[in-house]
Amino acid sequence: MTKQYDAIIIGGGHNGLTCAAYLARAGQRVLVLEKRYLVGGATVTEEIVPGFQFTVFSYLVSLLRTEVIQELELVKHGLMLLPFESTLDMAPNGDYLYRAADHWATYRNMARHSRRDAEAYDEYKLRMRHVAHAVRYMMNHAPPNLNLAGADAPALAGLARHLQHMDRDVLHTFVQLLTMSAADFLDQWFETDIVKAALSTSGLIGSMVGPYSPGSALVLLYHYLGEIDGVYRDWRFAKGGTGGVARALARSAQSFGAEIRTNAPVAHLLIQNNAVRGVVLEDEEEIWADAVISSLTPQLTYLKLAGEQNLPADLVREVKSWNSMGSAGKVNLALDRLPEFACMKGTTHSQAYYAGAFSFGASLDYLERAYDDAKYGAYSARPYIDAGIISVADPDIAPPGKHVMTCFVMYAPRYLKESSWPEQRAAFGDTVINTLAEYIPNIHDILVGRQVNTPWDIEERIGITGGNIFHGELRLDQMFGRRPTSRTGGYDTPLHNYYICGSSAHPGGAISGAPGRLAAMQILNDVGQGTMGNS
Amino acid sequence: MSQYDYDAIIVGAGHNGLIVAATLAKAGQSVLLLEKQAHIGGAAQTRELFPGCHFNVGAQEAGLLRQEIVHALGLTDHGLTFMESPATHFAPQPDGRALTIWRDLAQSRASIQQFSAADAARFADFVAYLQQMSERLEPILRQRPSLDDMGRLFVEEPELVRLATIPLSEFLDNWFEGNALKGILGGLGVSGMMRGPYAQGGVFMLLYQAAQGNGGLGGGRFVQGGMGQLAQALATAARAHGAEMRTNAAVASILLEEERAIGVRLDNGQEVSAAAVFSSLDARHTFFTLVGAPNLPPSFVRRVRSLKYRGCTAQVHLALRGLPDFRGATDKTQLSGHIVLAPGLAYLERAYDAAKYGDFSPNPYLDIVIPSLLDPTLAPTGQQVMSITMQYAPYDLRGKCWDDLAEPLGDAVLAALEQIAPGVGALVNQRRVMTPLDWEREWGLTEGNIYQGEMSMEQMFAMRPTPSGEHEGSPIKKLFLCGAAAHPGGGLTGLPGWTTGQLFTQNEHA
Ligand SMILES: Cc1cc2nc3c(=O)[nH]c(=O)nc-3n(C[C@H](O)[C@H](O)[C@H](O)COP(=O)(O)OP(=O)(O)OC[C@H]3O[C@@H](n4cnc5c(N)ncnc54)[C@H](O)[C@@H]3O)c2cc1C
Ligand SMILES: Cc1cc2nc3c(=O)[nH]c(=O)nc-3n(C[C@H](O)[C@H](O)[C@H](O)COP(=O)(O)OP(=O)(O)OC[C@H]3O[C@@H](n4cnc5c(N)ncnc54)[C@H](O)[C@@H]3O)c2cc1C
Repeated sequence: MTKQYDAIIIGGGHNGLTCAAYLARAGQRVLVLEKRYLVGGATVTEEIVPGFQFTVFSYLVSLLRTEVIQELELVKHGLMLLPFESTLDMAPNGDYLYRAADHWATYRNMARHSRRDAEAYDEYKLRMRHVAHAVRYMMNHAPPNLNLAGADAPALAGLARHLQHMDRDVLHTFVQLLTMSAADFLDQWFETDIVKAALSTSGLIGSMVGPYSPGSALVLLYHYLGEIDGVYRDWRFAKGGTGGVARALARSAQSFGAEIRTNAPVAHLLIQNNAVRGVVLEDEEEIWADAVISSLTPQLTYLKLAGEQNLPADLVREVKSWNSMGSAGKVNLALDRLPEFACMKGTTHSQAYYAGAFSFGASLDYLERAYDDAKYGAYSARPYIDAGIISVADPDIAPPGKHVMTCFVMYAPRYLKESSWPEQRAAFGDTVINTLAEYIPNIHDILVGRQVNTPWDIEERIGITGGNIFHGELRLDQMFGRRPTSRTGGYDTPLHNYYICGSSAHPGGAISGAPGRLAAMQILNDVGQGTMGNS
Repeated sequence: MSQYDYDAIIVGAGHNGLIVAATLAKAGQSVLLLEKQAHIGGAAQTRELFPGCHFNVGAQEAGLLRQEIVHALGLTDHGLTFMESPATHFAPQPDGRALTIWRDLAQSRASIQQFSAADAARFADFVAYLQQMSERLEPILRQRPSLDDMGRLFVEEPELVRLATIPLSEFLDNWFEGNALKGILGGLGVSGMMRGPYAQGGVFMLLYQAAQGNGGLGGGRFVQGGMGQLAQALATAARAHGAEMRTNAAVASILLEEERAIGVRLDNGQEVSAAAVFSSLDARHTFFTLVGAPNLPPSFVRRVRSLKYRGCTAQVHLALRGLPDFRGATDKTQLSGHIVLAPGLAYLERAYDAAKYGDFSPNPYLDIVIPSLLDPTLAPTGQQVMSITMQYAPYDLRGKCWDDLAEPLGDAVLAALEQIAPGVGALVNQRRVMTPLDWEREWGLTEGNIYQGEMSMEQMFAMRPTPSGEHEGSPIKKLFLCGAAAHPGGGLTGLPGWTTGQLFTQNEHA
């Protein structure tokens, strides 16, 4: 059998599509195989309740690399990012913290809690910007192969040079961020609970850590790495939900000549003499290619697709201990009209906050207790909820006058100690609604439909083993040269012609396109076509 | 003739201060050691709390002390004798069984076998792995890395980096299945730490504790005559080389000239000058109490202010009429090391949960020793002394005070003890409860942290106690930190004092 493609990409999530687009752009003949009926993976928009488009899983865009947007001409292919102006964090005691795009409005609102905190906020943001700027290097470079130590000298030397030139204060803050808890880290600047809690939540998203857990500061840092069009730490909604990002990527890839096949689940690889020659679909169709690139979790990439028997034992052991346990659920609500926030009653804010993001549960103890439930295998009796009403910014996704509210819910462990998710899904949804009712008294009256996604659903529907939204915990021992194993460098695998390009590869999860892009660079380098991008 | 009264003054006669005194005196320097208390030894001393009953107050376990220091200072000639217990850990379980870890690997394996054949099969590998990893760690403990070195280590020691951030529970779950064994290891990994085993960082503490394992898990090494004999041996060694020592001599402040330390003022007003001052107190006390924040750069003050302490260790000392019966014990030798109440990682984690919110759990983690079993001289004939180290007793009780809660804590500890040693309550002649507030009052340990500062990653290595490259630990010239606050940290390792002393004498001679 001769090859049909230069490269086959397994999985049509945004990273698979990014990788495909770059390879096709460099002239390769590329095929993307997606098991579902639509591409996007964790970035999909689907009409679940008639007339309401849900951004089913992911909902905010910030880490999407500027290089990806530009090099793949995503704007031309329909990408539209809608700014959102503010963040409203609501505390269980009825208080709130409102941060707006207007610096003075934010200052005044913080000073309502503490003038000192309001002043520290600028200092804090500046420091985080400096760290993010320094760390960006790592977002744009493949990590060194730790297994080869000396052999990967150029990557190491580059990194060492980079670290040496880092400002000492910034380097120290960076080192702190690697292992501290978000609460301890923020303690260095802030004194009020609601401010610390509101800022700490970036350290929790998608991870099985509480604000007092060591390691949550690293997740916090990760969420500060975003930029849109070079504007640091800007968050946006995508027009049409995050499915809009996938659609633009798919169009870009196709414009460069890539083929995309949906409803095409890959069963396993075709391997001959320790080299990968292609893939076999679930229906036993064989497709041959020079290179195969998986965007799936390491468990699927290695154990399912490649097979233990074809891999070194060390690597298999590492893959088996890869932690990709989920910690969050996603509940999407169809609303008849806008919700009323109890804490905003009688305040003088204009209703601009509806166009922003909100969170429910801004208290450190509250967040920590939500985590306590989950660490013993239960979903939080009172969860933390990060939400947005995307239809305010993008009215096209709901019938006129009606709204879509997206709720990211923590914590929901992948395995429930007492029960199973299919049995508990509805009760979990009720818990979310009841929690919301404490902040939104009219929620029951305006609710016309809902979709509840648990970690079980995330695993079943888009194949993220364990349901971790980043394909693996963002933890120092699962980052950088260890993502997802210390046995390989960057994007290659021990099998010839087999590569990885998904969120479980460096630098990690989120809608960034970074793993997809860096993987493509490495592959093109390997085939002697390494000229596509600059970094 | 020098313009100073002494070449060096050392503040605090804990084991680290004593080691510095002995090292410098041995190198020919004139040395004065000042201790605020009537007793030397600091957080490792022996006291007669009740007539005839001698208790180790503070450290119980002497396994961490580096053998090299014992040899170099000739401590065995100066009266130090170690005793090793045949069993290092004995862990009674809720179902009445008990797991014993012995100094002898085969015996340990046999005990583990009763809980899990798979664990028994892996235990030797695990011990060898710990040993191998602690050997990799040791050179880093002996030489403080700079921030740049940390970058290098990050790449050169990937396995240590992994261990630094993988949650302890995940690490142990990857090795073992039995709760009893994981409980013992989990307890080691959280000792003195205000965090539970589900958190990151515990594997490092486990490694630190097991560093001197010599084949087993480490531990089970005690000092004949009580822990206080270690300080006495160090003092004898220091005096033999000409060091002077004063107790009941609290230092009130460090005297400065420009930005340089030139001596100390005692709390009775007396001033003594020296070419160098070594403080074995923690960073908060050294810099805020003795130097004074106004004498320091504001950026440094901010660093010291944001150091984390958060002590979480209490002790209950019991004078017992006789030896209690422990459930699952068949032989007295099983009780000669640490008796551990930590049946599983979830148990430990729940004990920690209470402390997060400023409370202590009715189901605490207990690490119990009965030193009189190996050394009957510590108690009147037929009686026993028992010291229970308990976690988690948070320093911050969120508005309540340890003066009111010490006795309730003692009751809770005894109730928990009763579960594994039924009838022990009736054997208690006397009891004394000590809380984090006591460590702070006695030895000036800020917030009662037993390590003079949390041993969390961001406060270790290049960052201990403040980031390298800025002031190398002290912006004041000729003032050196030499206690547990300095690299590599707390515990009876002797390393902070030893490495500070070595470095100083080498530089002086150079
Ligand atoms: C609930 C949730 C909320 C999130 N919120 C945000 C957010 O707001 N902002 C943000 O930046 N990030 C968010 N994330 C994270 C982010 O969405 C993901 O990290 C990222 O989208 C993953 O992209 P990927 O291409 O690496 O993998 P995926 O999107 O997981 O794509 C993998 C693809 O492979 C397909 N597949 C699986 N098995 C096979 C097979 N055998 N054969 C063929 N195809 C297969 C799947 O169907 C899927 O389409 C969220 C994630 C989740 C789950
Ligand atoms: C309850 C408890 C249990 C522990 N258990 C163990 C264990 O089992 N094994 C182990 O290895 N480690 C243990 N540790 C930790 C270990 O004991 C310490 O880390 C170690 O003893 C610290 O020694 P050091 O010399 O650095 O400081 P310290 O022992 O704290 O010595 C400081 C000395 O300075 C004195 N001082 C304070 N202020 C002044 C002043 N103004 N002027 C003069 N002198 C002053 C103090 O009185 C004290 O003597 C324990 C600690 C505690 C508190």
